[in-house]
Amino acid sequence: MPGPDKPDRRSLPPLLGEAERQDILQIHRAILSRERVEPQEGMEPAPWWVWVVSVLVIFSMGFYLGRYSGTFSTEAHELYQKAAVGGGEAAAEPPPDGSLVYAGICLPCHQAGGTGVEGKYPPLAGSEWVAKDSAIGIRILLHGLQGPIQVKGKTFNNEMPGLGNQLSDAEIAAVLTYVRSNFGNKAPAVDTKQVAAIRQATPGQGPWTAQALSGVPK
Amino acid sequence: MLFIRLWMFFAGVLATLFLGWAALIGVPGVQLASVPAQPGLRPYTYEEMHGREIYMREGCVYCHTQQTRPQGFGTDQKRMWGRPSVPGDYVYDRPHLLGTSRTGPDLLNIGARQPSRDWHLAHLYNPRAVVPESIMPRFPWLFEEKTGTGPQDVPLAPGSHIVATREALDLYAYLLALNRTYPVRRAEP
Amino acid sequence: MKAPPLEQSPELVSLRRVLDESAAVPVLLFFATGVLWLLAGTVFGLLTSLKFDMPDWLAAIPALTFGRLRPAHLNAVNYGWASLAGAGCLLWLTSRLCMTPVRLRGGLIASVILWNLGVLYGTGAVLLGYGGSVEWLEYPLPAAAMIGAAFLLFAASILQTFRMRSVQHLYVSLWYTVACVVWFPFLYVAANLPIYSGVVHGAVNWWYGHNALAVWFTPIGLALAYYFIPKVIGRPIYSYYLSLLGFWSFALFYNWNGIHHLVGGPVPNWLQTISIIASVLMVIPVMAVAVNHHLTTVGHFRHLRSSPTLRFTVFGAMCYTAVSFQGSLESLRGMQEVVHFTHYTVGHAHLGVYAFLTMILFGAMYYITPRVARWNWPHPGLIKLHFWLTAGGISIYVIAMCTGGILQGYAMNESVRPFAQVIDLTRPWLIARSASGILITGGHLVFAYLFAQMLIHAGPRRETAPWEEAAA
Ligand code: HEC
Ligand code: HEC
Repeated sequence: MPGPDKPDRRSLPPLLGEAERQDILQIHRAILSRERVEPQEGMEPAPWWVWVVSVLVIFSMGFYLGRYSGTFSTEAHELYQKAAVGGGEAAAEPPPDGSLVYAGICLPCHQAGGTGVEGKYPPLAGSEWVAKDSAIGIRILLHGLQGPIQVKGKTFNNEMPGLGNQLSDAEIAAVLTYVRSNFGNKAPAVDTKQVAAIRQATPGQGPWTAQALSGVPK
Repeated sequence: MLFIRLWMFFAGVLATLFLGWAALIGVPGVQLASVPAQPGLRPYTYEEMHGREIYMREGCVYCHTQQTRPQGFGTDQKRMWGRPSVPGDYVYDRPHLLGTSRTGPDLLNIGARQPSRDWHLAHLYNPRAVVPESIMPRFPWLFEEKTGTGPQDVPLAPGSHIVATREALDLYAYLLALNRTYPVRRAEP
Repeated sequence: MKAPPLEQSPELVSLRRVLDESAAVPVLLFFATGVLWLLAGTVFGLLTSLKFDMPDWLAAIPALTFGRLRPAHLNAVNYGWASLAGAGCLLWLTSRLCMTPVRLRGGLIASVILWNLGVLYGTGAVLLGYGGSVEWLEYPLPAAAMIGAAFLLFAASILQTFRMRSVQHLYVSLWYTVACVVWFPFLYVAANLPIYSGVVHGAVNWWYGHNALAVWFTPIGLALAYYFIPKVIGRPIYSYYLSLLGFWSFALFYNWNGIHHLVGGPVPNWLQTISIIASVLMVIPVMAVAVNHHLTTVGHFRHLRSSPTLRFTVFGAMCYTAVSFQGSLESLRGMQEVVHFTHYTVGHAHLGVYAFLTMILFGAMYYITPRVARWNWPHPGLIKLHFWLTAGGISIYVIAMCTGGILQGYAMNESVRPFAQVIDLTRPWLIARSASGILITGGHLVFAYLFAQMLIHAGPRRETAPWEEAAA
């Protein structure tokens, strides 16, 4: 163990000459002489308000625990569900908002503004298929569409997945109504009952083709 | 220290860590161990597991969550991202991929919301081809260029020479398996 | 108030020399490799940020995709830079506070080597696509095992030095130091066990992710702040009682915080609630520390101009207060509903690990390096530049990400707004973040240059540092 007067040479760069070593030790001594006392603990009392705030925080969190701890079960959402029921909002299910369904489901393919994507996804804006009888749109949404189709003079040959398992009748009606009255389209609203009727009438139906759709009963 | 002895200090230090562990991991671990898989949930297939590994390898989790929040807390419901998820939806997830960032949309139900293979492959190859505003990375190395395409191959578009590799197809299979739209069965109280 | 005199008795200077010489080689190794990881991690970080602005840039290289760069950045700066530099600082600090030379130095050399190999292996694995995709725990098991073993060697040295101490009273910095080397190995092993799945794994993930801060990074920062503020000013820390309150409430509350990362998610309600409560209770230790530091510094703020150590340290300590209060607020459900899942969280994380911890590490290194490298900092002007680049850069960073994150959160909760519009909304803030990243990178290059000069004893030969002349 090196002592105070026997500096530990091992920690010096090995290639230095003796004079340089001495010089470095000199610098080190100068650096070490510029220090103030090692930190110590003062014994001032903590300001009174620190204790007051601490106690207040602990009390308010005790209240929070009582209010929000739920039933100590594995339920993840009970608090929010209670809030939603208590708020009376969930009591009568609000009608679905077509624009939300569009943004959530159709948008990635048919794009904002219903413009579609060249050669892949046909436009909904100004589409004759949208403007046609609502029975056609409902069928496309329920079961999907595949094969060549002419939209606004351009041919598309792609596949749209059926959404009947995912969307309720009311949601299908809402989004079709939204599409038919936006993007420059002006067709009448779609009724939920009609969607339900078509769903009933076409169990097990696979994707439609443009040709098959042209012949559907009104 | 003036107030306590050294062994008390060490005991306190260990005890605080252990208490935290017991509260956040131990107790919930025991409690959640008894949660069965939701009846509608099935284990991942071999392809889906492989796709899941691609999902982990490419770090999709840093931009996409797989947890849907309830009505009254955020607007996941209104955005059609699917009903609030419950512990029983994740029984086969190992490691978990819950995620904490929504630079992109939640993907817990992407398989139901967007089942189209064409769309997913085109999007993975270049997200900006289908969503111009997207800042999602491209994953061109999940595809390869072939001069002649056989019947087995899945080209990006009809006639395209760019075909999906096994990795891209399995990733798609995984995305399709992200579908928790079955109704929740709650445990008997 | 007049500054207390320097302590220059020959015996004391000789004792300091013995202590610092015992620490020199391991500390310099920890520092030097830490600085290399700082540079690597900064480059990863900057690239990650630029990827948001230019998603098609370098898009065909798998190793440089966003989803691999981001974990590479996080791990390189945390397990590489902050852990290595922090470990170096703690070694020096323990020796000084225990008034005894550093023990088990052979083990420390092995520790540095193993630690660096672990980080290299892990970061390489993440970039090559072998990462685990579990935030903070991406390293494959062998890399984690190497880091864990290296940590045990380091902890053994600290504890042995502590055992051989020749002082009666244990200063508050030592409490944090000893506690964190005991805590971290348990945490790291428990979190890396490959036995979890589903929602429980989510809980383990964030128990660990938050505790990496709670039981390792934050104690480093606090130990250093508790040491350097009174040391540079030359007066005792204000109140022992506040130190006690701060330490024990910290130990009790901080490691219950983790599940606030999963609020609204599929974990049990009560679990989210207790983590939120613990997060709010953090007000108590943070207030105790802040008041203690402030009342120590009050009346001595002019040292901020003369001492780079104090300037960096006080900046960091103030950011500790800020980030902790921000964290307590952020954990509340009302706030989480908006900012969870947004860039706000990223801003918060950088306020913690960068503005608090890294700035304090810089400050400490400005003090320690001359004592272990036996050379004075060559260019005081560059130190100023380093401070302003990093302090300015991180301020822009945090403001941009937090503002952008709040806007993003509100926009996402406005369900009629298509997701694409949310992306467009965040764009300018992400560009501001990249700009701040360039400033920070510049600061790090300056620091690395200065540090390299210290290692090779370049620059003018000086016996006194310019800023200390001014203060004397
Ligand atoms: C996976 C992408 C995708 C999604 C999601 C999608 N579609 Fe389609 N849609 C298509 C494709 C592809 C076609 C053309 C199919 C073909 O070529 O046979 C199409 C055709 C249509 C058509 C008939 C052609 C036209 O342009 O008028 C309508 C109407 C339509 N979709 C409405 C919708 C609505 C409403 C939604 C949302 C509820 C929706 N689609 C969701 C891909 C999609
Ligand atoms: C840099 C962040 C980022 C990463 C990494 C990322 N994404 Fe995305 N992702 C986005 C953004 C932003 C969107 C929204 C715009 C769009 O649809 O492209 C998105 C959208 C998506 C969508 C469509 C979601 C919807 O509701 O329409 C899917 C599917 C998807 N990503 C899958 C992936 C997969 C799989 C990976 C990994 C291979 C991945 N993402 C990696 C940012 C990212």
